[in-house]
Amino acid sequence: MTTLTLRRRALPRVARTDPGLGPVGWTAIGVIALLALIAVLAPWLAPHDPNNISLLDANLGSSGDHLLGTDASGRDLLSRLLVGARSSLIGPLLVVVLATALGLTVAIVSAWLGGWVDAVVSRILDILFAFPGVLLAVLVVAVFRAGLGAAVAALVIAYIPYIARTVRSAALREKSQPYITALTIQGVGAPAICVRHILANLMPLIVAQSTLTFGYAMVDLAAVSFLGLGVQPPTADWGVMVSTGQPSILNGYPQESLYASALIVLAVGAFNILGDRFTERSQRSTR
Amino acid sequence: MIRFLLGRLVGLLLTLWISSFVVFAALYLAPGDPISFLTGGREVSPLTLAELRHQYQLDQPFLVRYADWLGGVLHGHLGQSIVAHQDVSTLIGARAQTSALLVGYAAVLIILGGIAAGTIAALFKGPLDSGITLGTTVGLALPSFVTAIALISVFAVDVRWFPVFGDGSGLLDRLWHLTLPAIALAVSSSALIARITRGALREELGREHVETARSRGIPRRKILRRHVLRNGMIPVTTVAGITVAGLVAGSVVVERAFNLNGLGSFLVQSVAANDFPAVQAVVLLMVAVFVILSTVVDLLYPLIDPRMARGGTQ
Repeated sequence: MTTLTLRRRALPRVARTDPGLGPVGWTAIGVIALLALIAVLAPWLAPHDPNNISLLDANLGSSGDHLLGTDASGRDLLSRLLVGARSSLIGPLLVVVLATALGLTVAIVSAWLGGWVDAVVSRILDILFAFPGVLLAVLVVAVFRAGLGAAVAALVIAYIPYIARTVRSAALREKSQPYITALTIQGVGAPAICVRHILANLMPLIVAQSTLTFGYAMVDLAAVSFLGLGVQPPTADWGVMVSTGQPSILNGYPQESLYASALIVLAVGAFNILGDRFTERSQRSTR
Repeated sequence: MIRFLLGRLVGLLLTLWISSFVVFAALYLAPGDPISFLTGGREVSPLTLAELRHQYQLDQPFLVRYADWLGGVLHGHLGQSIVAHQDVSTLIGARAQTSALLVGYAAVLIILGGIAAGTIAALFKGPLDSGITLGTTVGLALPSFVTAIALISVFAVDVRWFPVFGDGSGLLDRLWHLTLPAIALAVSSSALIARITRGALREELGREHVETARSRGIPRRKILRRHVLRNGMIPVTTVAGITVAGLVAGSVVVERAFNLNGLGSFLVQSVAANDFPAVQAVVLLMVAVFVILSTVVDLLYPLIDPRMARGGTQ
């Protein structure tokens, strides 16, 4: 057994070539770029005013004037979906940026300092884990009134422990590497080591984690808006549209809910796939 | 082993205690005044106002109210709903049953469906594996409310095999009514479990001791049962435990989609009505169930993985 493992170790490692993101990964990037572009250009792309109510035009099918038809209040669905991309994408983006920034700062500082700081931070994170994201969002909304801001704030807090736990364990591994000791002996300061070396080396992992978090944040925010506690109607938002379109389903007009659902699934799927690709690559590079 | 148990138990109690404080403090800080809901916007004399404040103990200092509330909770009194003028425990009772049934039903679907699909994908390479992997990728991107909407639009309009709204009466009828909600709640989590199972089993299948066992001519069935499945189930249990515990929160969304009269719908109504005692009670209950379920899973580890029982506290 020993000779076997020894011989295995002695063999030169086959250099693993990085296969890149692959066609699926690039498709996911394409979808995300397209959705982002739509969000930016929405007011110019939208053929109608997304909030223009016209009860005479309620529940129309697709036509030259309304490409995707209209909702129960006669508002143009295509325009609402395009403009809805804004709040549907900005919300998760804010959650990811804030939760990642806070989470990785906490994680790297506590991993670097160790001792009681690390112990206290770990306990606080454990307690935060006790609050599932949606539940924390409902609690925060109960306190600060319904709205995107309250929901985003709640999800930032709910996601910090997940990001911090992953980054902390990776930072601990990195800290035990010989090159860190070498840097310390050379007299490089702790902040410089943390930012320029540990953070830089953890970047692939952090990018992968943030991409996956974007998907989760999007689902949770849309769920909170669906519950009527996030983005408030009549603002166009995909999560809100799934909910406001629900009564029409029973009348045989499922378009509003289904289109909004499809866009959410498309965006979440793209972020999930890309996140998985990034995770595979970051694992391969650390091995 | 006893140290491990005690450690978990202390951690559980500490987490519950701090959660109760957070839940109470959050709503204490809330800017909306429950009194304005009690009076319904009518003009009331300062005397009546003071009486109302006294009746709901809104005139006491924070720590006294917290201690009172916590004491009540420990005795099973979850406070008085400001909107319904009833004990919250009474209001929660029947609704909690519906939610528990929904979560239990979904948990069974997730564990059976997820593990079965993952095992099949791990054992049979080729089109079956690719199909299941594609299915899990799509499933993971499906939020529960999207699945719910899709199910409603199919079963409410086109095919009427399952009821789409209401709770039903009697156990069998209730389960019948809960079938679609449970599926909506289970889809994305089953995809996750299937994926974890497939990954874990594939890893075990490639292990040296499995290869050795195969070269010694041990029957495939026996290898799978004793070496692959047994070891592969360790990471699956972790994820399945967390996922099932998370259903407690996820059910809120599904209940709203299917108009089920469960805890989740009650929570959302209470938030909309600024019914603080009800919100406090339901959030605390859900957090408690979540934390307790997670701890139970932690305690199951030593049974699945005997190495834990011997030494590790992790």
